[in-house]
Parts: sequence; structure tokens; C-alpha cells
Amino acid sequence: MARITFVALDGSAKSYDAAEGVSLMRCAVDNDVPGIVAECGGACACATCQVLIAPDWLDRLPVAGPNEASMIDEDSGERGMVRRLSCQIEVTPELDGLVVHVPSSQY
Amino acid sequence: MSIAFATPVIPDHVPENLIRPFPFVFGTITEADPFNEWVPEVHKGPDIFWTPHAYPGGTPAWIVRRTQDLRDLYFDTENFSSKDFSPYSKMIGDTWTNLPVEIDPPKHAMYRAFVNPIFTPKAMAALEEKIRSYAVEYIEAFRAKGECEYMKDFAFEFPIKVFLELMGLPLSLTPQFLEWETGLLHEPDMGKMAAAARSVVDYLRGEIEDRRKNPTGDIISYAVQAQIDGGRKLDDDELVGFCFNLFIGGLDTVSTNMGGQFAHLATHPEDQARLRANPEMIPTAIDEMMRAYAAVTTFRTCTREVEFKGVRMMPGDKVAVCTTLGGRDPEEYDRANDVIIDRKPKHVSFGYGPHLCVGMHLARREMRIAMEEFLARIPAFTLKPGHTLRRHLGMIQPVELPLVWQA
Repeated sequence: MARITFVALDGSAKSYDAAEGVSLMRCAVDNDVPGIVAECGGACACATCQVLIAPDWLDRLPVAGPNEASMIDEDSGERGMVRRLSCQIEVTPELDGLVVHVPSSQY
Repeated sequence: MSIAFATPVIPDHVPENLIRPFPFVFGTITEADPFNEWVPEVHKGPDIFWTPHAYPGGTPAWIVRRTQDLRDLYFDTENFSSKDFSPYSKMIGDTWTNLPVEIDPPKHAMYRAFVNPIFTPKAMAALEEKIRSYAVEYIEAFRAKGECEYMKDFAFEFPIKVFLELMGLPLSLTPQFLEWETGLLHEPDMGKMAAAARSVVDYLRGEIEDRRKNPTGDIISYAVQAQIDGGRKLDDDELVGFCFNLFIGGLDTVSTNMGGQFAHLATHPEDQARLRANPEMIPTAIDEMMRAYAAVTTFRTCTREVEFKGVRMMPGDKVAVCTTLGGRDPEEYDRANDVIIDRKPKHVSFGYGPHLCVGMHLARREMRIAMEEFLARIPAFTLKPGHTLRRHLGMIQPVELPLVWQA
């Protein structure tokens, strides 16, 4: 179990307990976090579950695979954070306290 | 129905109570309204059933009608393979595979990573003005006439132009591409379908050869130069499969959805007026119409004996992934047969799972621009009085869509 905080575009934050092994995308969608679309259902195919994560968390996340990397523009970071596909990040105990920001657009 | 199919041989594992007729026969034309007359009837039947003539060429397939079951099917790539879901390569004796769409995971991800960068939202945004100029050109050509045949005068050619632009091919090929596309997707005669496939493949091979020698900035050049699999180039079969897949996926599907959307607007003046007054609602309305008029059926092939949702299937069984049914499942959507343009549905009309339409961002852009420009330039329009809408089945598409307005 890890406590994950989602920050909406308007700055409002909500936190949820996510079970280990569940993806950040699933946690967001199950809790109706606005702005996380996840059109393909979590198969690394649509790039509509993008989130922004602060750089100091990156070493605790799995490295983006080639398929994920092929869908994210290198210069698409926002507010000093990097974009990732939330379906490709499984919750681990190490991610307890992670803060995830919803990007300005999925498209 | 004029086509005679061979009497089906019913396999032993198919229980008699799951054998049902299914009127959506590939390559035929109907005057019925398949969305509102047939789909609700199918949804009164079993969740999964077997029907003798669903696959192109009039051969059997299982039909899965529930949205959630379709989602599960899309993800179950171990039991249900996408290989050979379309008949074209085999019917002309070739060995290429449509890719990435007919490649199963895990190999699929390698091809998808190669294709994705071409179709990112950012790459497609760069095409916005070009796409808009094509749309405007078609609309302005008929605006003053007070009428158009929406399919012939706009919907068929518009996505072909965008495609030719992306592929670096001359726009003068538009009529030729349309003829081939019709042969591949709306031709009940297998011989004619094969001839169209042969022509397309021969043409693509020539262009691939040309880009090897004279690379430009187009997609074919990108493909011949790309490196996959830790540094090798795509071989001939992979290049043909990639190009053919763009051809088959990128042209007719957009035309078809545009046709479905404008057939709706022509017959629902209140929705038409609302979108004309509120063009910012167009993207949401398009997704709702994509749900309600989902046109595409793809197929999977069962790889091993499996029990799927209580139904036993055997290796080689075809399973139809009919988004037309999935879009109107009454257990998934309230008032499933009503078009509610601000519904914001989660639909499976672009597919779901790893094979979700790679050209989705381009398709949405083309459909949005077509609707924005048409509604901005053409006043209230209706279906031409006295016209009975006929639709192709397989890919459910208006045969003609004559529209009239006060010029």
C-alpha cells in the first residue's frame, strides 16, 4: 500500500491509498481523477494517461521502455516536471508519498 | 441478399442454442438501419453466439456483443491472436503481415514503438492547417450549389488527400486510391478484392524501392530508414505490411465515420443547430457519434482451446470484434440507442488495449476539422427529400449521402 496524491490543474490535491502492483493510471481512473483519460485501458497504446512527476522521484520509478518513450515528446515537461505514462508505473511501497500532477492536456 | 454462401459446417463444439443469424454480412448493402433496427435485436440475445457468415468471404465467427467482454477480449492476446485478421496477404499468396495491427505482443510493442512517433498529438497538430485547407477546398466547391453527395464530394477523398500528403505521394492519385480502397473494403467478389490488394501492394513496393534510393521527409522514407530490434532495418515484408496497414486503416475508416456523423446531423436538426451554435462541443459530439455509429469490425483468431465467458472456443475459431455492438450495449450505456452529444462516453470504437488505433489523433483531427468547416460554411442541411439511405456492411458506411440546403 502506498499513499498517492494527485494534483489537478487548478492545484487542488486529493490522496488515495493504492495497492501494490496496481498502476498509477488504475488508481487515478478508479478514483475519477479528472484529466486522466486512459483510452486504451492500460496497454501503453494511447498516451492519454500522462502525468507529471517531479525529477527527485524518478530514481524510484521504472525506466520508461521504448514503447512508452516513443509516445512522449522529449520537451513536453511542464512546471519543472517530466511526463510519464501512468499505466506504466506500478505502485510499490517505495512510492508512498508520491505526488502526481495532471498535465495541461493529454492530446 | 444476392450472395450465395456455402452451407456452413457447424463444428462439434458449437452448441445449437448459440447458433444465431447475424445480418451484418461483409460486402453486402442494406436499406435497413443497422444501428437502430438490428443492433438492439442482437442485444436481446446471448452475450456470445456463433454465426455462419460473419468473416469476409462468408465464413463463420463468434460474435461478442458486450462492451466489457470486448475489452477483455482486446487484452487477452494470448488466447486471441490478431494475426491474419484481414485476408489480403494470404489471398494474393504473399507473406507479409499488416503491422503493427496483426502482430501479437510481445513483438507488437517493438513495431508500435517504431510507428508511434509518426502519429503523436504534436506531430498531428503540425498538420492542422493543411488538413483544414483540404476540407475548405472540398466544401467551397459545392457550397453555392445547395447540395452535395457528401460521400463522393467530400468524405471519401478528404482523408485520402491527407494520407497522400503524409506518405509523400502525388495528390493526383486520389481517384486511384479511392478505387483500390473500395475494392479492398466494399467488394463482395473475392477475386476483385484480391486484384485490388495486388495493385496496392505492387504500387507500395515501387514507392518503397524509390524511397530507399531517394529518401525524403515522408513516412515511407522514415520507415525505410528506421531501426528496430536493436539496430536492424525493416525487411521488405515488414515495409509492405506497415504501408499496407496505413492504407487500409487510414482512409476508409475516416470516410465512414464522417458519413455516419453527417447522416446523423442531417436527420437530427436539433443536434446540428446546437453544434453550429457551439462548435467547441464538436469533439465531444464526435466521440458520442463514434460510439453510436461505430462502423468497424475486426477479428481475432483463437489460438488454443479456451473457455471465454462460459463459451468453449477452439483453435482457429474466428471471433468478431464488432464495435457496432459494443457501442450500444444497454448494460454499458444508459439509453444506449440515443445520441446524447454531450454524453462523453468511454467507447471502444478506436479499439482498446495494445492495438488501440495508432492513427487516433489524426482521425479525430480530420473528423473535427471536417465538421467545424462544414457547419461554419453550410447552413442548416437535411437529407435530400425522398432519399432512402443505403449502407455498406462490413465497414458500415453510407453508400451515398445526398445533402441539401438553402444556397
